[in-house]
Amino acid sequence: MNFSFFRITRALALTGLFAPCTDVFAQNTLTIDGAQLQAKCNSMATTIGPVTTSFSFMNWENLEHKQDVTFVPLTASCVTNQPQWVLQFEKRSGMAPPIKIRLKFDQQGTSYVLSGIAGKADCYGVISDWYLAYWRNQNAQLTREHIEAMNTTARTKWCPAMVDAASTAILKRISTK
Amino acid sequence: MKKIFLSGLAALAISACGSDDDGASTRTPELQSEESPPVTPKHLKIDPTLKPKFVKACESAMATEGTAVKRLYTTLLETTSKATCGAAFDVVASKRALSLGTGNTNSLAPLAFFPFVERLEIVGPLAQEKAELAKLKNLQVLSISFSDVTDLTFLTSLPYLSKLAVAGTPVANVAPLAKLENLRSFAFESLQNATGKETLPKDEAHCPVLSVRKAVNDACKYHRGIK
Repeated sequence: MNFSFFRITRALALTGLFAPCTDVFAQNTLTIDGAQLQAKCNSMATTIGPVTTSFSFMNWENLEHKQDVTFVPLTASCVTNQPQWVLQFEKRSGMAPPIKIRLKFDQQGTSYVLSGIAGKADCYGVISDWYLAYWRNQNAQLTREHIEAMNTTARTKWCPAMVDAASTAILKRISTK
Repeated sequence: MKKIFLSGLAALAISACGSDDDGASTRTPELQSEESPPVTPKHLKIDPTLKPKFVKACESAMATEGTAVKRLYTTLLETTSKATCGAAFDVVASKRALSLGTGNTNSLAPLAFFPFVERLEIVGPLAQEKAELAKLKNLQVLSISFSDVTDLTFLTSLPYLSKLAVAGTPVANVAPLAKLENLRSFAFESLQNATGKETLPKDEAHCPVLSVRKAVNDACKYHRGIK
């Protein structure tokens, strides 16, 4: 029964194309004028707004899986002359509960330089719990191997793909005048 | 949603089909992970004097211009989606979850108003007030981002911590986390220093893969590229 369950749900399950995101902003590669960034921070909802992007990954059954996801601005701390500014965005669509992405900018003269992107670690905890709960709610009889596969997928595939794609889209939006 | 629905239908269909020929003896038992579920404490009763104390401190901070403390309370109002300090306290109290984060040095002093909190997010460097964090005996979920913390030993005083995420933080050793008996989920995003080297060494002493804590093993295996 176990095999039938997974074979059939596999056939019906989510599919897509696996295309790892290669267009990721690396640390210290994006510089934004302080005044421009502060203006975006001060009214994130209107100047940045919701950001939607697509990402794909190989799921725990080794099937290609494609999703759209939307992150919305949550908070920003862009206080004049403070050395670090952090902008937070939260996932408000797609599968799984809300997940935050945090972008840190360090002051460099009158500009602010992207110095960190965080989200994959938080994402792992959220996605792995949700994934497991989802299948248990389907009355799936999960073996230890299934659970391990789900956790590994969350840690190594799903979260990196989603956070990389979403942060790239958000940063493109922020850096656009 | 359609896809979820279809998967759900498939699950129901297969469950129904298999119910008459699937005796309990042949059913694959649901195996637990290698560790038992974490012990969770009972909700702490909230001291009624905490809210007025918090409101007084919060309103006082909000009335002061241009300070990091004001930013901290502003963020608290934003993350709770409330306009007043009292309403923000109520949200934290009902969710038992708190987000303290400004990106700049965070005073952890406000934690004194929330000893009952079970989920906590901290964004930005911590002021030297880790003792406040260690008092959160009911804390079960903790996220630390962009902090300046290098030593996680102070977390070992949190007996019920079961889920930890550390990102953008120059952690140099995760071995102390093996002492957290209830830790079941751990993830970190490695941070590189100015020379591009990761702050967490990829060795057994700093990132053990033979720890008694599976969560630490898993995180270290991933960090160290061990299949």
